[in-house]
Amino acid sequence: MTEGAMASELHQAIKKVMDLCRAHPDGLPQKIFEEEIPDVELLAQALNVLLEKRKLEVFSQGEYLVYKEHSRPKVADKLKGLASKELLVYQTIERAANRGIWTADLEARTNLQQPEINRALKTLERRSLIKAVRTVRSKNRKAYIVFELTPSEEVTGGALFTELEFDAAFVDVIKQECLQFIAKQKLVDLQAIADAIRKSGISKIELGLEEIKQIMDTLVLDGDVEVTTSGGKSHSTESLCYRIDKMPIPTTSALTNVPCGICPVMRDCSPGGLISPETCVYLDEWLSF
Amino acid sequence: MATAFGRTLCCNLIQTHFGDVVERVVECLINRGPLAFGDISRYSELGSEAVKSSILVLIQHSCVQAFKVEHEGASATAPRRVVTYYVAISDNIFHRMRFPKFLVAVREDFGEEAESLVEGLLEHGRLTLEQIIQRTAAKAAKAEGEVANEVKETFTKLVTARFIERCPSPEPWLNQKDPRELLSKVARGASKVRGPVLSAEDIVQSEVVQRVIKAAAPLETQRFQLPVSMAGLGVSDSDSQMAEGSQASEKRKLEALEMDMKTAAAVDEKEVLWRVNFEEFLRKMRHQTCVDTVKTELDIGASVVLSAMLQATRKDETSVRQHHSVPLSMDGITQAVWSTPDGQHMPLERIRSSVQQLASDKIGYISRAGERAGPALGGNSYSVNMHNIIEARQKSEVEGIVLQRFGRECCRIFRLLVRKGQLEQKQIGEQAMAPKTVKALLYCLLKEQYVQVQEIARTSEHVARQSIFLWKADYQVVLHRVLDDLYHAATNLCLRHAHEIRKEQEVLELVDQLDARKDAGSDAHVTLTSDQQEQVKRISRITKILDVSLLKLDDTILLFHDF
Repeated sequence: MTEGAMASELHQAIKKVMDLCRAHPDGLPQKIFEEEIPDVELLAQALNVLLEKRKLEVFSQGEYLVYKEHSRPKVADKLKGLASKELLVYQTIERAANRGIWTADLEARTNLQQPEINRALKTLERRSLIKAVRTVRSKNRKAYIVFELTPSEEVTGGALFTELEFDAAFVDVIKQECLQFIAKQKLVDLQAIADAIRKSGISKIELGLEEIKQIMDTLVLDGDVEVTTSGGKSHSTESLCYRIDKMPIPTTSALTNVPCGICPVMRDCSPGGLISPETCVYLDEWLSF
Repeated sequence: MATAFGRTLCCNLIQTHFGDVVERVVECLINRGPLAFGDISRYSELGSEAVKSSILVLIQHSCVQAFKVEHEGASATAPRRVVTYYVAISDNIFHRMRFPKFLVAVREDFGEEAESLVEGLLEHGRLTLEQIIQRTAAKAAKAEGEVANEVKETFTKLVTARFIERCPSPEPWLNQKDPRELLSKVARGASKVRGPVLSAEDIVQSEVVQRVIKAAAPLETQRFQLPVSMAGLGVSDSDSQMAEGSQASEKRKLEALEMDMKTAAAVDEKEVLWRVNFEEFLRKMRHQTCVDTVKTELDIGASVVLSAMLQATRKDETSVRQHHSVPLSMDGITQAVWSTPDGQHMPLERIRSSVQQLASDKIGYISRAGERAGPALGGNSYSVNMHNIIEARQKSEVEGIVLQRFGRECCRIFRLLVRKGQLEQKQIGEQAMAPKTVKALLYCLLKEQYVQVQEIARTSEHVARQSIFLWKADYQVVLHRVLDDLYHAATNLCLRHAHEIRKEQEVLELVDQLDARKDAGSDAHVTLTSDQQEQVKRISRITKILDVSLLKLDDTILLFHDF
């Protein structure tokens, strides 16, 4: 055949493939293309061209290959010119969505070698297709995530974490606010507390109901507030009420007023031993104040 | 139930009060359980005379109780042997720490004469009425006849208030199997008992002690029965007691009594021994703790109502560790409140609302007893739920100790585990808001045995990385641990006290000599140098601190062990 004829045939084949794909936006298995375009070589050429141009995407569904029209033309532009390996890496990262993925996992999923993956990652990063984030679980390992997405709560730790560290000072401040509010109001429910915190504006980040509940639970554990359910009509979290606990945990106790109560080596102390009450240094200090 | 350090404390107290020889005897008895005379002299390596006098002293002070057990003969035709065993009653030994508190309680209620009477009984262990009169006369330097009536009056008051009781029988029968067999049976299975602090022997020994005490104690009716010669002086209560006592009482099943009904009438003030009834003092202190708890938690009005309820039903309580008081109807409560000095002017509405408040509180200070009754029957009846109050107090105390010993975060973790049962490390970290430090804190608590960890293996080889570790806080174990720590601290204080006194022995002897000379009226030629005065000041300050701390610690021991 002449080149022109080949080109036009190719062109026709490409057009046919594109029409088919558009008609079936969910994707078509390879088989159907083979039926429509009996020339396997031509089909293969057409598909390759389209893939290169990023007009088509290929997925593997079980044993079959499925072709779909590319859904994101902008990204398609960006993906132009990427080698197939890099594309594979990109697709794996995409699939991890919010959670991000480590290099080790990437290796496992793509069956590629480490240096190849690294090269691919560099290329993708340069093109601003992916970015690296640090997770709260292991700060030294980077997870890669598609550029446009924001990492999920699992990765960053949620609103109470800043810079991946549990922000104890921030939580303390909020706890104090809550306590004062409850002290004034005597009996409040969860929603009211959340509103009050939001109004007072001490936190720059939005604190959801879940987070406020977590903080309140901590206050309950500290023994400063009591939780009760109100009315008993509804069982949703909104019906939890809090009030100041009347019997807080005592801060002094007879046992701990004596040095023995807080002695770190009490298990080793025995009369006449190396550590004994007669020679105890802590007792000496306590008695000579 | 004495823990490891509880036993040490017992021995220490005995040594301070009675000396080394008696201490060795008590040590054998406490560590080995009930023993016969021969065994005691063998284990303590003392001569039989020494052992005999020690045991006499201990029985005199109710620290040891004897009981008889019948053994099967060696062969079918041999006669059955009767062996007398001796068992140490550790509770009574601990009470020796609290004598000052008992005296203060008596002084508050009955005045100084009653206090000196009780002091005599505490000093000597047990006395007959005649001896009591003699002692009071000697102290006041008056003739016996003058003081007899006063003493008898005070005595009657104390007996009706149940602070004094008749002594138990010297050698009752223990009608079941040889306690030694029981001990050996449990010892075989002792390895199954978990927990490093509790031991099977402790439990068995306390059971034996309980049974022996029960067998030895006189009948309820007899215990507080005034001597025949004083029947006229006594309040009408004692008359009814006498009448009851003359019938055969079926309240307790006992094999044999040393004093049966016929001889009771013949026994008069010369032979009956009386001793202090520790139970009554404990009950009084328990009620006081309950009332104090209510005062801090709710308000004074509610505490007045509660104390009135407890006072009204005090006589009907049968044991010290009773969970509920006897139910009292609403009318009864109001009557009781109006008869106390604090509650005289309380309006009915206030009383009613306090009762409602007490009943509906989460801790459950009082609970409704019986069915709902209308106003005609006196209104609903309520009983004070002392068990709940004491438990709440214990819980709060334990949490306070954890807070101060380990810090805020540990306290949070501990409370979380007590409420939620078993949790994994990650969940604990999230809920207690200490995700980074939770591991270190948990191990801290584990070292002190406040929490336990259990491994659930996923593979049969128990690979550590794949097992799940569940943490939990077993409240009973924690209570035991805290009690042991309390005893340990008390022992340390006692030992330090003795040590300090020993260090300054010379100076103290000098001071004693000076005092003796001053009393005798002669001039004191020798005065203390300034150094020695410093030493005296120092030692008196130190002993004061140690004594006060010991008394405060003892309050907590009472809370955990006796209430």
